[in-house]
Amino acid sequence: MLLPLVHLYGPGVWRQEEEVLMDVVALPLPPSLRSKLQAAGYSTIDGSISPVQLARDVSITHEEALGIIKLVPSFNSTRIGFVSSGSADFGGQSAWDLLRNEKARRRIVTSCQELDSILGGGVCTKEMTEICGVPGVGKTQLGIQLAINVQIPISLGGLGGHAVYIDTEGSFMVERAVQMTESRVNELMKKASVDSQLKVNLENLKREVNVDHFLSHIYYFRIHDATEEVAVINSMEKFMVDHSEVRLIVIDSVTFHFRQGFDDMALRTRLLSTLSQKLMALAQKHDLAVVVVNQVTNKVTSEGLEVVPALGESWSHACTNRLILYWNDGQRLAYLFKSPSLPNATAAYDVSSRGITDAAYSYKKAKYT
Amino acid sequence: MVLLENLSIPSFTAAVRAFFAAEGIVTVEDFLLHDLHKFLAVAEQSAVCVDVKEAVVEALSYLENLQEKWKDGLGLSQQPVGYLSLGCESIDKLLEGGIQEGTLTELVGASSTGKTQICMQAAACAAYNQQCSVIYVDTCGAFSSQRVAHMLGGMLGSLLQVEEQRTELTLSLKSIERIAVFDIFSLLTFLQGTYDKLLTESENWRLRLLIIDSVSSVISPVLGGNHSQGHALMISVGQILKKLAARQRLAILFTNHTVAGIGGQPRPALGGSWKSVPHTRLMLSHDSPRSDVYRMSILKHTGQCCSRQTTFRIGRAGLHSFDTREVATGR
Repeated sequence: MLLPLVHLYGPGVWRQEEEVLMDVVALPLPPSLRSKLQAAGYSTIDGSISPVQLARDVSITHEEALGIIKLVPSFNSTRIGFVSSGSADFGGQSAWDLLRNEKARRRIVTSCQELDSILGGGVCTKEMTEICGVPGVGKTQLGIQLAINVQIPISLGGLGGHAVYIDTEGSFMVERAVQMTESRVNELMKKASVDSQLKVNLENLKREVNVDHFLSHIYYFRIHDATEEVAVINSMEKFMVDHSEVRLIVIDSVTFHFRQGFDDMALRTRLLSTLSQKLMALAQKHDLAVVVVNQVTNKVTSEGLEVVPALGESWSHACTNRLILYWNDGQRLAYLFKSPSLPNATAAYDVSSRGITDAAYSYKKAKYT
Repeated sequence: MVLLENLSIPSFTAAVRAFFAAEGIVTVEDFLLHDLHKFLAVAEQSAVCVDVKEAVVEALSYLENLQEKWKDGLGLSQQPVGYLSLGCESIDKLLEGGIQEGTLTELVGASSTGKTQICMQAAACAAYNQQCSVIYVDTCGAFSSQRVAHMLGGMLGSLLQVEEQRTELTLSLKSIERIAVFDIFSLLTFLQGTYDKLLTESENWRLRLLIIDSVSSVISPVLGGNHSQGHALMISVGQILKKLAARQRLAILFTNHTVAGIGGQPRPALGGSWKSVPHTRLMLSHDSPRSDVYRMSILKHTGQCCSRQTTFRIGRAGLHSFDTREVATGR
């Protein structure tokens, strides 16, 4: 019996309907196995082949053969599209479903109203946000503030999550974190006792909103070189399993170890792009916000020196949102440089003993009057 | 390479297969490359001579049947060419109708030059105007359904007050599928799966547009170094995309980032071998970071002259043409 003609190079002849014919090159296999498969005549492979036959043909162990077959996906062909197509789908969602989820998504406030408003209400979960700026403008301060604010209980309009703080520069000062937490806790308790609409039990709240409780839920990692940095991000997946309450990862800064001791720039680019893909996947999978701090560098252009975010052109694509902090006339300003859903905008903010605060005078008012 | 025995040709009995194998013919390639006259001469002396001859004839006719029929220029020219509008007058004019079905279009540009915005608008436009399905492969978590809804709202305009139009908005949003992919293997698996699914369900599934934003962020982690594997993976992505476009008549839109080229000028990433993958390559740029006027120029186009360019703006309701009169009146 002859079969229809699409079937030699397309899918088909020797497979069942639900199996996908995969190119061996496209499977995540070690090179040794891949070349063995190719040498034995398997340039494509489908999931319906028996592991015994595969093992015999390619002369590999049964376990290896089984492992290879498991990599080949299968699809439920009874549904149209990938949305809700059962177990083997790719987590595809229609824009409609996403829109409904997006509206329910919570944001981590920055403690500065103007900054919150240009960010659409704060730093969003499932997204990666980069903060860049010159030294001393308040990058680390903003990082610590977010690590505190993510813990505001849900009853008070926060996320009630925990934070991971990955410190590469040693700039995380615990005394400062205590100081900022104290004032934040006081503010929250005051707000809860004054606002009768919230209807929260103050005694219960006190158990959640106190300095010790807040500080114990900032998980701090101190990183000393680039390899450690890659390693700790790789291990985050496992860490999330035990700490599912984590809603924020701050990396302060992603730049530090990548700016020195790298002769092979191609390797640096590769490592950084792998890093950003890993972080992105974490953010999506575990519904958390990733905040990376970046330094700035001077770029020589035809108009002279220009201050630009470090790590170069390829890294600039890595983040979903980019917030640039800078000084203007003694005023700290934040400029939203890149965002898929929000327009570019500027906000003024200040850093005081309480942490990040509203600016003493509004930047916008100053501009228009 | 495909094993001969997998072709399920009935005359390939165990004895015949053994004879073929003894002559070093295992795969289809071996068979096609072998001198068959010599092979049949050898077969004359064997006991399974008749069976082998029959198998050779059957295999040859089977393989001949697989060949795609050729088309002539006239036939090709009469084929309808579909364009998907990008919902922005100036861009559609530049591209003579929008992105073409059956081809790959690449958007190249530095960070924050509107690549993702164009992708989202293309998705919204196709879903609303053509009422077809759209797949949006998101590799950098940048897809915002809120933003797409705004763009659709911009297209519907004041009609949005009418109940029917709101249903339409919902329908359009429902026909855009977003898939989050963060590594190249998942991307390849997904594309292969899509291709297979289209083969069996092309009548029920009106998929016409596939968007990948961005293709470079999954490729660049594996590219380079001392191994050629990354390069092979990149070419595999290119191949399957071309197959999807050519065989399934999909319009494929993907984004690529830029790297610093000669004299600091931005040039498309992923190097020379990727250059041949897209049919159309569009470069995006931004005059000054504080303005909302963006520029698109043609770097490569299979049907048009290059280096023509146009401008567009990104507003709340999506992309729209840049009208010079607006500046003159100070709006």
